[in-house]
Formats: sequence, C-alpha cells, structure tokens
Amino acid sequence: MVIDRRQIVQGLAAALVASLIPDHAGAKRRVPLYVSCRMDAEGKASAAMFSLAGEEIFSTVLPSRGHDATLRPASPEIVVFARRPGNWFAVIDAGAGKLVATVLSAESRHFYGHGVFTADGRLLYATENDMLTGDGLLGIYDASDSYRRIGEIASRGVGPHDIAFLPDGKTLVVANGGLRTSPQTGREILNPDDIKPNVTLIEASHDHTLATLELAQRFRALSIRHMAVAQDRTVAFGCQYQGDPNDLPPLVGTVKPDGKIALFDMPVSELMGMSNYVGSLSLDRNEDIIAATSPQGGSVALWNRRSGEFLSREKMSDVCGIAALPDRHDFLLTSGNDGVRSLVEGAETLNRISDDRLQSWIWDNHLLPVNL
Amino acid sequence: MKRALAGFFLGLAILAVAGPARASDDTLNQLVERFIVPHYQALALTADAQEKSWSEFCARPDEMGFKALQRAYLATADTWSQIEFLHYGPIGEEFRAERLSYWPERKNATAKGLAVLLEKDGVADLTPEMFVKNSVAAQGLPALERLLFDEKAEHEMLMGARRERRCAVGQAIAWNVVMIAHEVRLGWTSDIVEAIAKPDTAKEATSRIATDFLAFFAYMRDSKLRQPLGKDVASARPQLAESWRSKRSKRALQLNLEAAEDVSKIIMKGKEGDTPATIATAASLADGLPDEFGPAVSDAKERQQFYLVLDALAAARDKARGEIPAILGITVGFNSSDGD
Repeated sequence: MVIDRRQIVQGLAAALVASLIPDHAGAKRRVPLYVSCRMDAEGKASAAMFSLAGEEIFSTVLPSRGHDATLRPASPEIVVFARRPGNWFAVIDAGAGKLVATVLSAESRHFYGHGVFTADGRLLYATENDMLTGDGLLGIYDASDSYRRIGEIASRGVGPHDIAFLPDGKTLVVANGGLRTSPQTGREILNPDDIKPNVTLIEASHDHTLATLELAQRFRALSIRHMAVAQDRTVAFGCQYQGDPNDLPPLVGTVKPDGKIALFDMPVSELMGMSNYVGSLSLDRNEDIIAATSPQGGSVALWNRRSGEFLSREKMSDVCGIAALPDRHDFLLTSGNDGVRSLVEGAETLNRISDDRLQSWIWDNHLLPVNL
Repeated sequence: MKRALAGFFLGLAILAVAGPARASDDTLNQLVERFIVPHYQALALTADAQEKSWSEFCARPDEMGFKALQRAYLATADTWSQIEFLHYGPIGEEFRAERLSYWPERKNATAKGLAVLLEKDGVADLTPEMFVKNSVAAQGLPALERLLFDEKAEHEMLMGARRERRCAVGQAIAWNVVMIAHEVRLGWTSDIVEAIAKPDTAKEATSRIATDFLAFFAYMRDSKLRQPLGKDVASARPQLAESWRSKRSKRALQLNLEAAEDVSKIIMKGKEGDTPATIATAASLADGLPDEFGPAVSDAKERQQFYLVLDALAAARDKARGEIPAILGITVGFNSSDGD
C-alpha cells in the first residue's frame, strides 16, 4: 500500500489534535512534535510544526521574525511571539495549521518574545517592556475572550525575558535579564554598568512577590535569560554575560526549591566554547540533565541537574533551539545553518533527523516540544 | 622516532592526495584544493621546520639558534593566520584549534599553564602522550611566543638556571604543533575529501566553511581590534592585542584579510559581486595600521586608523553576508550573530 505524504500529515495533525485534548478516559496519546520559528533563504518568517520523521505538520507565515512559542493547555492553540522588541503575538490553530489571530502590543509596550499560559489555558502572561519607564511587565491576556489584554503586573525587574509556571500552577517564575533597551535604539543596552538580573517568583493570582533571587555581586553582569522548570520546583537557568569578554563566568545554574542558587562549573577549555552566552536550555525527559546551547560558541553543553557535574560539550554550528526527545537523556537541536539534529546519549555524533526537508531552514532561537 | 613519524605522515599524505575523490560541488572543490589543503600543508611544513629548529637549538644552544627559533615561530604563526578562520573539519575536533593557538588568552591561562610546565623537572612528562594532558592553553603557539619573545626570553633560554627544562618544554610544544598540523592536513587530504564526494556532505561542508568565513569578520573586529582598543583611550588595553610580544598584531590581521580575499575570490569566481573588493579595501586600510598596536591604541589620533579598519570590516562583512550565501545556495544562521 502506498501512503502519500499528505495522508501522513493529515494523520499526524488529527493525532495532534486528539493528543492535545484528553480523551474521555483522560489519557493522552503521545505524538512527539516540535514547533519553532524560522526563516527561509529569502528572509520570509514562518512558524512550523514538524515530527521527528521530518514531516511538516503546518507552516504559518509570520509578520516578522518570531522568537518563542507556547502551547495553550487543553487546546490546539499555539502562541508565537515576535522577537524583541516585537509588537505582536500570533495565535495558531495547530490542528488546522492556520493563523487564528494576531494580537498587537498595548500602547507604549513591547513584547520580549516569551509567554506562558495558566494551567486552565485561560490566561496568557507575556513578558513586556514599559517603554516609558523601562520597567519590566507581565501583560495578561484572556484567551477565552479573543486574547483581550485584561491587565498587567510588574515583572519585578528590568528586561524580563523567559517566563514559566512552577509545577503548582500558581507560581510564576520570571527571568528578569536586567538589560534595559528601547525600540528607539534597537537592541542597544542602555544600562551596561547597572545590570541587576534576578529570578522572581510571583503568586500569580494575588500579584504577590514570593521571592526575588539575585546572583552574587560579582556575577551581576550575567543576564539571566532562559529557564527550564523541573517537577521538583528546581528552576534551571542560562545566562548571557555582558561584562568583560575576557572573563569566563559560569553560565548555567539552578534555583533550588529553598531559593538557593547554584552556578554550575565546567572546565575553562569547555567554557571557552560557550562564548559567554547561553541562547536556550532544556531538561531531558527524565529531568536528570540540563542542556544549554550557545549559538555564539556553536556548542551544546550538558550538566547533571542535581549534582551540577559537567558532563560534556558537543559542537553544532549556530545551534540554539533545544528540547527534550521522548527518550530519556536525549535532546533535539535546531540551528540557523545546520538544520535539525539529535543529541542521543551514547552516540558519537549529532545526527540529522529525517531527510532534507528540515535542513534548509534558518531555525530561530527556540524549540517547543509538544506532547512528549 | 619523531622523524620516523613525520615520514609516516608524509607517506600517508602522498597516498591520500593521489586519491580521485572529489566533492560534488565545484566551488567546494576549488576551496579545498586551492585554498584549504595548500594552507594546511604550509602550516605543517612550517611546523616541521620549527620543530627541527628546536631540536637543533636544544642540542647546541646559541644566539644564532635562538634567532632561528624566533624566525621559525614567526613563519608558523604566519601560516596559521592564513587558515585561522576555518573551524570546520579536523581543526574543530579534539580541541585542535585551541591547542594550536589558545587566544584570546582568558584567565591568564597560558601564563599559568606554562608556569606549571616550566616548574617541573626532567623530561618524563614531555612525551607526546603525556604532554597533551597539560593545559590546552600552554600547548601551542602562544606558549611558544612567550618562551621566545618575553622580555628576558633570550637570556632565560641561553643562560637561565632552568634553560634545559625551558628548552625541553619548547621542544615538546613544537612537536605538539607538528602533530596537530599533520593531523589536520591528513584529515583534509583523506577523510574529508572522500566524504564531500557525497552531495549531502558537500552541502554541509560548503555551508560550514561559508559560515566560518562570514563569522571571522566579527572575530577580527571584536577580538583583534576592539579588545585592545577598549571603549576609549583610557580603557585601551594594548596587551590584549594578538601576538603583541612578537610584534605581529598587524601582520596577523593582514594575513587574515589576505586569506579572506582569496577565499572570496574563489567563491565569487565568474559571479557578479563586490565582496573581494570590499575585503581588499579593508586590507589596504589595515596596511595603514602601526606594526605594533601597543602604543597606538592609547593615542587618540592613532586610534582613528583602527576605527577606519573596523568600519571597513563591517562593510566587508555586510557585503559578504549579502552576496555569498545566495551564490553558494546555502542558508546562514543568525542565532550566532544576533542572539537573544
């Protein structure tokens, strides 16, 4: 029997929709799929969902370059954010592969490229900038009301970037990178000598600060940008160093549930390969390993999440997007010029997944795993 | 033993070069055959000559021999500058690039690694197998530069109390450079040439070489010029200039640009485009830099020429980014250049 590609894609899309919405028994079928923003060689931006077999489930044209994506729980909707300083987010129906809505930023606000839904899928929190004051904000959008912006709260810092919920579904965790920027001056850092990054925990329903955690004074130039949250409430984070390029500070660490911060070491020769920059990070499926990518260094580095022990560093040109693969300790990686590859425990090399179709795209910074 | 190994390397190389494998892509063939392989061969030849100089000097140290060591170092550093941009291939594996030329020096790593080496006695720890366990930062050309061009280098090498150990360490580093240079050369003349006969690998190789080429403009700007320049005269740091001890900061940049122009000409051959010309402009402005960056970066007037080169390099980078990916039919990622 010959199965054509369209049938496979339709089958996957149907499985996706089914898998995103629990069936009557509450069980979810698992079809590992991934979403990422990308550009083609002509510079046209899109967001795409693909399978590990290389099938493109959908591709949606974006107004401009996108950044991260987040999945709306109990819904086939995926929200894709513009890259900072962006003024839109796009809502995509993953089942139909269609753009449902494009929501513009509020007056004197812009997005930072990341957002997260509440567990019930009703509210979307997006990291934003108050362009008048430079204060970090979390814009709140009601997904059940056409993503109407219903309010905003302080992010408790400057330049909020990544955002997530802790496993309790009530506590927001925000990476305030500490970098003040303005659309008028593009991506120029306006406060290079006064960077105060933090990780802040906020009780979302009451806008109540639970903790604001800062790095030691000597690490203040480490802009905390991206996070991955474990089920035991440990928050792994990755940083971008804004100080003297000759310094080689640690770039990855964790905030333990008791609020203690640990920065993870690695040998200097390996640290050099990270170029003082982490672009994205992820936990493996078993949450044993933290993997951080450095597009500047063309590297992905791995640590034991619990002990902080450095495990290895692999090279991949322009690598940035990273997400867990279904098998424990394995990761999927995307690059702007080296396609999509897998990092499999015990394998000697990073292997391309599937065929050519995924390889010719310029994949952007982040990779969202869907339904692992 | 070392000589026998060198002969073995040469034999393998001759066999490998004789192989008929060719990349499926003509531009890639040109890059490999006309640029990459000849430059790695040149690196291996100068590394061989350098190792020979060390052997001779350590057997009978004198002033002439020391000058010969310095010349051999400069020749090897030059051949490295001409192929420095490339990270793809065997140079990017097993820390070969870092072991060959750990620079910029972070955390004083070369000084520390070399000090550890010089403090030890005897030669048992300097066999090739043992030597590679030392700090990466002390295994290559920057460590040799310190041995040969530090303020009291000649005195220490000829009359210092620890001159024998110093000589043995220099010899071990020179041999390590030989090993790396030959491993890389052999990798290109055998494994890679065979691999890129397949279209998939050829495309990847082309893309990676082009990415390395395009990224090198930012490296020249950020590491080679901006670091010693600092934000202003007050924050200038002359000792962050490349190879300042051997006074070849400008020469290294000139050779980098000469190589970049050659690569761009191979890629652009028969195509319309201005990339080679914009690189040539940057090169001619770099010719106007002082040989030593040291005093100049702290002089407001002399800094002007550095700024002109910075601008010209940015123009060359932009031109190359605009022309080369399309000509090669490849995509070049932006994650590594703009981040977030």
